[in-house]
Amino acid sequence: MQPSTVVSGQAWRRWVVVIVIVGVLCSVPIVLGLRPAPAATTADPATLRARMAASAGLAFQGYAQSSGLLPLPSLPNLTEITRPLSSRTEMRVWYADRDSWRVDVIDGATERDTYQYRGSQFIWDFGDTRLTQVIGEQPVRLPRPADLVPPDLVRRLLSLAAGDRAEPITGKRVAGIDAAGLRLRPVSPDTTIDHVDVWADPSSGLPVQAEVTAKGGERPVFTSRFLSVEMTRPDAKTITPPSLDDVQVTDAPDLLSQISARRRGGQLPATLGGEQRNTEVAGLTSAGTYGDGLAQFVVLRLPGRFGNEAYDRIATYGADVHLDGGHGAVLATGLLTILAVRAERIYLVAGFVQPAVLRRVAADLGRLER
Amino acid sequence: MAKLFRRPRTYVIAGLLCALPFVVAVFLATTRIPPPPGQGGAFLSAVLSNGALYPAAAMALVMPVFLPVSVAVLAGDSVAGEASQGTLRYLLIRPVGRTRLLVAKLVALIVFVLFAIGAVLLTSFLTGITMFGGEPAAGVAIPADVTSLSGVTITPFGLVLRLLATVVYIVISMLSVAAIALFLSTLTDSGLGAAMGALAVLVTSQVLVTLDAAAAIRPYLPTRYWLAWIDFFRDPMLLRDVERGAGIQLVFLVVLLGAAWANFMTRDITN
Repeated sequence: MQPSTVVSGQAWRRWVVVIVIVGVLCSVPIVLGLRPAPAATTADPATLRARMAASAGLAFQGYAQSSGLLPLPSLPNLTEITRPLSSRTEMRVWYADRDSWRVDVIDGATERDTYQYRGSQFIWDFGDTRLTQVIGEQPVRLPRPADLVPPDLVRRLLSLAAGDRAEPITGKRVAGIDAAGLRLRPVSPDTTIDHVDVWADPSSGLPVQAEVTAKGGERPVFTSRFLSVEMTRPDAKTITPPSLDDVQVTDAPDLLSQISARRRGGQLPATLGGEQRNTEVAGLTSAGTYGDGLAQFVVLRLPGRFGNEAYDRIATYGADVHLDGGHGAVLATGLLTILAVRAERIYLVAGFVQPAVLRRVAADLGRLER
Repeated sequence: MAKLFRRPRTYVIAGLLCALPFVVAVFLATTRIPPPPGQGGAFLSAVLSNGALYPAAAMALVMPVFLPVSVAVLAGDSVAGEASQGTLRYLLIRPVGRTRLLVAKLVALIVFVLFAIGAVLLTSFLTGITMFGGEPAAGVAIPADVTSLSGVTITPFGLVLRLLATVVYIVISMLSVAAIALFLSTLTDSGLGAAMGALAVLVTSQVLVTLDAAAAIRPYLPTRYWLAWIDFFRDPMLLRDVERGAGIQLVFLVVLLGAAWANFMTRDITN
C-alpha cells in the first residue's frame, strides 16, 4: 500500500469536490420529481367534473404533449388519425375562446399549424409550404391533433362518459399546477377502456392531463398533458393566421368531408352489431356512429380507391373474419379495435370496443353486401 | 490560440465543414428535387424557393455529425497530443498553470467552433444566393424576406438575428463534446483514443435519444437538444428546448471540466 502524500491528498480533495458537484446536480431532478402534491388538491368529484365540462371559455396558452403506445400500422389516407395513437405528438397551443385559437404540431424541423379565426379554419403546413383556408361548416370531420390538447380531449371524454361513474383520485402537479384528479370507470362491458384518469386545476376547472388505460393493462396506453401552461389570453397577433398571397381554399379538408360531399350510396343501417346508430347528420350517408358512451364506434364507407390500401394493411396485421358477402379483418390493439370489410365497397369500423362487438358488426355488414 | 490558426488542419477541417453544404447545394440546384416534407435535412425543402435560408439548412447538415466529430478530434488532441509529442512538459515548465492551460485549451476550442460556424454560414449564404437565388426585390441588394416554419415572414434583419442566436446556441451545444474529449485527453496520451472515446459517448447518446425505452433519461443526454436551435425559426420563437439544451450543456461542461481539472492537476507527465 502506497503511503499517503501531500499530492495524493490534494488529488483526493479535488475528486471529492467533483463528486459532490455531480451528486448535487443529479439530485436536483430527483428531488423535484419526488415533491408530493399538496393534500389540498382533492375536490368534490361532481363539482370538479362540472367545472371541467364548463371550461371551454377559459383562455390559456401552453405546450402540450400526447403519447400513444398503440401498436397501429400506418393506414394510407388516415395517417392523421393513426399517428397520434402510436407515437408522441408535441403541440403549442394558444386558446382565446372557442372561435379563436391556434394549435401548432411540431415535428423536428417542420410544423403544421391549425388556426380557428373569424369563422374559418386555416391550416399552415411548412412541409408543403401551403396555407389552406377551410370555408363553410364542417358537420363531420376526422379527428385532428388539436383534439388531443388536454382541455379539449378531457371535455370530449367527459361528454362521452356522461353516464359513467367518477371517483376522486390523488392529485398531482402538472406543468406547475397542483391538479385534482378524477377517475372515470365505464359501465359498458363492451368497451376496451378500463378507466380514464383526468386532472384539472381545481379552482378554474382547466383540464391539464388525461390518461387512458385499457382493460388488463397496468399503465396508460394514451396520455395527453401540458408540459407548461399559463392561464392568460394569447396575443391577437399570435392567433391570426399568416397573410400569404397564395392561399388554397377548400370546403373538404379531409377524407371524411370529401366522401360525405359525394353523397353516394344509401344510408348506413340503423343497427349494426346490435347497436343503434346515433343522431344522423344531414346529408351524411357514408359515415355514422353507433353505441353508447365510451363504447361507441365509428363506421366509414369508402370507395375502393380510398379504402383498398387501408384494408390491405389491416388484413396484413389483423385476424381474418369469415363473411358471407365479402372479406373482413379485425385488428385489436388492446385499446382501439379496427375492422375492415371489403365487399362492393370498403367499410372501416373503429372504436374503443371489444373485438367481439366488431365481429358482430362484420357479420351484419357481410349480410348487407350479400 | 495562435497555434490553432497556424496549423493547416484547422483550415482543412473548416474547409471540409464548408464543403458538405456546398456539395448538397450542387445536387439540389441541378436536380431541383427537394427531400419530401418532414424528411431529409431541416430547411432543405424550403431553400429551393429562397436561398437566403440556406445557412440554416447548412447548420442542420453539419450539426449532427461533422461539427461534433471535428470538435472531438481537436479536443481529444489538445492535451493528449501535447503529451504524446513531448511538448506538454515544456509547456508546463514555462511556467503555465495547469488550470490555466485547460481553460486556454477550452477557449481555443470555442474560438475554433466560432470560426468554423462563421465559415459555414458565410459560404452557405453565398452558395444559397448564387444557386437558389434570394428573390431580391427590384433594385435592392439584400435578400428578400424568408418564411419561418410557422409561415410568418422573417425580415432580413430578423434572419440575421436568428442566425446569430443559432451560432451562440451551437457553440454552447459543442461545449459538452469539447468537455468530454478534453477530460479523456487528460487520461491518455493518445489523441485519437480520446476523440474516439468522446464520439462513442455521443453515438450512444444519439441512439438513446431515439429509444422510447430510454425516455426517462432522454432529457439529460448531451445530444438531446442539439437541434433545438431550429425553434429560433418558429413564430413565436420557442425557447423551451433551447433553455433546457443550454442548461444541460453547462452541466456537462462543469462536471467534465471539473473531472479533467481534478485528474490533470496531479497527473504525472511521463513523456
